[in-house]
Amino acid sequence: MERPLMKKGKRRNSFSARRARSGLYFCLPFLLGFLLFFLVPFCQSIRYAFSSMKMTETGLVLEFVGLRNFKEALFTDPQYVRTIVSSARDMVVQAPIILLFSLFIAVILNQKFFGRGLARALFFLPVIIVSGVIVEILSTDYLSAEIMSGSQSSGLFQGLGSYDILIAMGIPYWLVDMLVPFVYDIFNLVWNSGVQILIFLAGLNTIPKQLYESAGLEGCTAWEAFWKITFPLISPMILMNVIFTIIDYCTTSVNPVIRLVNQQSSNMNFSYAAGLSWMYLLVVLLFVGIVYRLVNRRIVYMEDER
Amino acid sequence: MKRRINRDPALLPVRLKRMGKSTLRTMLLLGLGVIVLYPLFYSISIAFRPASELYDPLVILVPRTLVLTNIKNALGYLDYWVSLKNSLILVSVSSLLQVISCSLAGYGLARYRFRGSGLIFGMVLLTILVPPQTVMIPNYMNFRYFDPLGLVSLFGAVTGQPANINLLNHPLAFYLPAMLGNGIRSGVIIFLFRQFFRGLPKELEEAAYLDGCGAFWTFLRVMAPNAGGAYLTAVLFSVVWYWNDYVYTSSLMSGYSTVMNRLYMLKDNISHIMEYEINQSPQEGILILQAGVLLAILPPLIMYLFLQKYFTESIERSGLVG
Repeated sequence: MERPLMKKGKRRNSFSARRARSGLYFCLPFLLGFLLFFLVPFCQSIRYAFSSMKMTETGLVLEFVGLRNFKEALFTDPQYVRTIVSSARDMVVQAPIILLFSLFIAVILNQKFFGRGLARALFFLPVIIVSGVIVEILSTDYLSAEIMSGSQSSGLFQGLGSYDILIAMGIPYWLVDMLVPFVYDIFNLVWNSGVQILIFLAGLNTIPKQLYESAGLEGCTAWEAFWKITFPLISPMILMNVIFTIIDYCTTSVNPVIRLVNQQSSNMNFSYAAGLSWMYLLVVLLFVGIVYRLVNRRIVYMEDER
Repeated sequence: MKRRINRDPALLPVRLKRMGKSTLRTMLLLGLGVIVLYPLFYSISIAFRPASELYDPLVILVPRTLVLTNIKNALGYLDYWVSLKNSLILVSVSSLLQVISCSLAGYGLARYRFRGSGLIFGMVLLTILVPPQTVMIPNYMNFRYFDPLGLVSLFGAVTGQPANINLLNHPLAFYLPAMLGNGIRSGVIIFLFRQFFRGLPKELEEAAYLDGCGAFWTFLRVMAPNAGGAYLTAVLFSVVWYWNDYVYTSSLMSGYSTVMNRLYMLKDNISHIMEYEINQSPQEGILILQAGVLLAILPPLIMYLFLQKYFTESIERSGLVG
């Protein structure tokens, strides 16, 4: 009777089409915000990067200069390239250590023991305390700066004398040289892995306990259970943490490259600063893209829809 | 919670192993705990210390006399009660809006596959990847002459008056992006929600659908309550990031009296204040600065102390699903 109409309606309102549309509705606020508060400034900053900017009475005047900002950064600026290379090298060393450490701590904090709540509360403290202005104050205060940076002269670790002890124990110099910085760096490590620990912990808690029980019944050791159950099921959080760690490292205001950019922009060299941060962004983007590709292939989702 | 100990000698190696494990764990956690707490103790110790004991070699952490002058000075220079009120309102509203909008987007990306969902996820990643400093200057201009999609100028052209909305130093400069999922580190929070919602079992959703729930009600009634852990985590992150933020605050809200703005001002002017207002040596400014730091971290610290109980419990509970 009403076949054609029904057919038309069916096509428009089929289950999957409706699902697709509601998915889009959920993302709508974000899309609008992305357009207004991200894409517009983002495109403008590209324009800045390709021009030179002057402050006049009438406001900002942009003048197109092509690739001059980029050329200057790459070939004339004595610091830029060197800073990027050295901070990238630091990150490649630091990020895996932070990840391993936070996973390790999260697994420990996930076990049942006396005082667990307190221990959990403790490890998130750094996130609350250290960021923004506070870290700046703590690091300009020479007393606490020594403590925070964990430098070799620092009062807290001086007593350890770990370097001399290890040498005296007959451990080869090259090994000690490799290990000791990590000991001195424990401060930075603990203070930079609060968010990661929390994300891992939350992820560990979503793993159903039944899996461990049945694995235990089948004679699975804790070590095997970790690699066969915990590790795959926590892999979405690993991906998240890998990306977060890289980004966090690259965009904090204490990162040397960001410092360089801020320095330029506080000297009113806005367009040069835009050029610098754009090139830096491309490097970071490339790096994250590669890491995402590598890690994403090994991720297991409990409910895989895709 | 006393565990009964099985005295069977055959189990001795197992017991020894377990004891060794727990001793190792306790030592490790204690050691790391000291590292975490040390700067906090340091801050407290300096903040309550009289100036005469700043360089006293006998005083390491516990001062011989405790004074409140540093705290009082810091309270005055931070204009604490006013800036605290401003900060609390700004941060709580922004975080609330941010968590709501981000959970919606995260849910949409986790549970639905539609044309362009990959692209939207790419956009989320892009907002995470681009350091806020890159877009800060255009963002500043964007809020100075706030004109979404040319609507304001259109309105101006229609009514014949030059319309010009300045959102700088207005809380809306924080609320609007937060509401639309583009606040401070919103991308990370969206990503967090996406990862969480993807972990929830499909059966929940199907059951709700069979009971006649639409997409939104399914989200509100079934999925969101099951993601309590994710919500608490997100709220905590969001509040802390908004509270500690200086990048956005300094450029968009520099004329607004928040705790962080005040603290930064204090830091910049400390030697001047010490020299001309308190008549002490600039080195002793540390006392007031540390007192200020303590006052600034106190509100999120208190929030955390209250929240962490629910927090550790609720991530426990979310493990039951599935």
